[in-house]
Amino acid sequence: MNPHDLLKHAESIALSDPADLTQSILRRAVSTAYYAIFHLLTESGGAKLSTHAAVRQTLARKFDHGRMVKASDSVVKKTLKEPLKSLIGSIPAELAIVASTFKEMQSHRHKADYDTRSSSNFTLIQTIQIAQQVRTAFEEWDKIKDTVAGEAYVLSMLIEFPDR
Amino acid sequence: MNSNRFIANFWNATTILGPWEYENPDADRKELDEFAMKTARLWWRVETVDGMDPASFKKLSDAERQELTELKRKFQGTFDGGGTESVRKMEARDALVQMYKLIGKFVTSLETITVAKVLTEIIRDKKYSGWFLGFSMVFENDWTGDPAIWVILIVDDKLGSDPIFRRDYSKIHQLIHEELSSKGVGERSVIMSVRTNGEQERQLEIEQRQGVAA
Repeated sequence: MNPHDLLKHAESIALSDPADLTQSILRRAVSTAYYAIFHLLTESGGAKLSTHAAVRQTLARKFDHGRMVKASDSVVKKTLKEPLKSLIGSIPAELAIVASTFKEMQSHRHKADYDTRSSSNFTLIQTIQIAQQVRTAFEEWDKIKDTVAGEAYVLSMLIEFPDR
Repeated sequence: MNSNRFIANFWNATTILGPWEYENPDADRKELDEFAMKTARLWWRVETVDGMDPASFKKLSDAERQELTELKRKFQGTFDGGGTESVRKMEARDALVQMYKLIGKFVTSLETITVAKVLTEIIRDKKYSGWFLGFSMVFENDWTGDPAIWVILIVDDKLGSDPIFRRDYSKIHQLIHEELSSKGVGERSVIMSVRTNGEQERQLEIEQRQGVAA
């Protein structure tokens, strides 16, 4: 699944004719925006570890939503532990944006998919801005994905480093 | 109305005002009048204080609880004409001042004030002049069970489709993350999004209808 296609799809849903928009459509766009950034990062992780498509796909399936948000949380809250702390060092601004976006998107996605209360409704502008936020994270990830910080971050989403 | 519902309504109403900006409502009369008129339908609502039970504020003294009861009664007394298109300026301002007094009595959490101050300072920055009308803030755990703050920034209707706003919003978004973290609110996850004034009004109407139906 191509993450860029997913993001375009989320953007196109959000830009549908306002007369046709229902909660289910808006919530689907929010959920799709999350899966766009999810697949962007899992694909990056797989690509770092293998040049073979079949192996990359297998690795990408090993990423866990909970583990990924925990890794992102450590970046956002600047609570990285060794050896990641030494590898990443001072957290680059681009990485901070990617990590905070991933974390926020996962929360939005849970609201969109599971919280049916009207107080958790999504509006059109809210949805458009959420897709835009993911677009920004894509751009920032492109700048940092091949750096030590980027690679260490995506690896920390796959492998839990024991405290030491 | 249960207490959670009250808390949500109260915060929707109070944080939209950016109340900490106006320490002296009389001195800021003109600005307050304009702001009260523009945002009245978001906060000047029966639901805002409907579920408030002063007796449940255990940390307040009897005299303070009595004062809170009186403030609630005065705020409720301002509802003639509230929430309609024909909002009159003086009525809106009077209601707003009563609302501020309620907030001053009710808001005692240091964390809440810190978050509200950071958000107010950023959205009132001259660089973003006219973009934001306020914010809605709810303290609720995220899906993992970790403490979080759900923030909805309210923007003027005309900004909803503004490409410059869409492009520059991400800078503000990140700035809020950094500021809250540096002010010691970093333990909570911050989950932000944006709605227009009109969208927020419609959303509150939906919630009101469904709340009544329930």
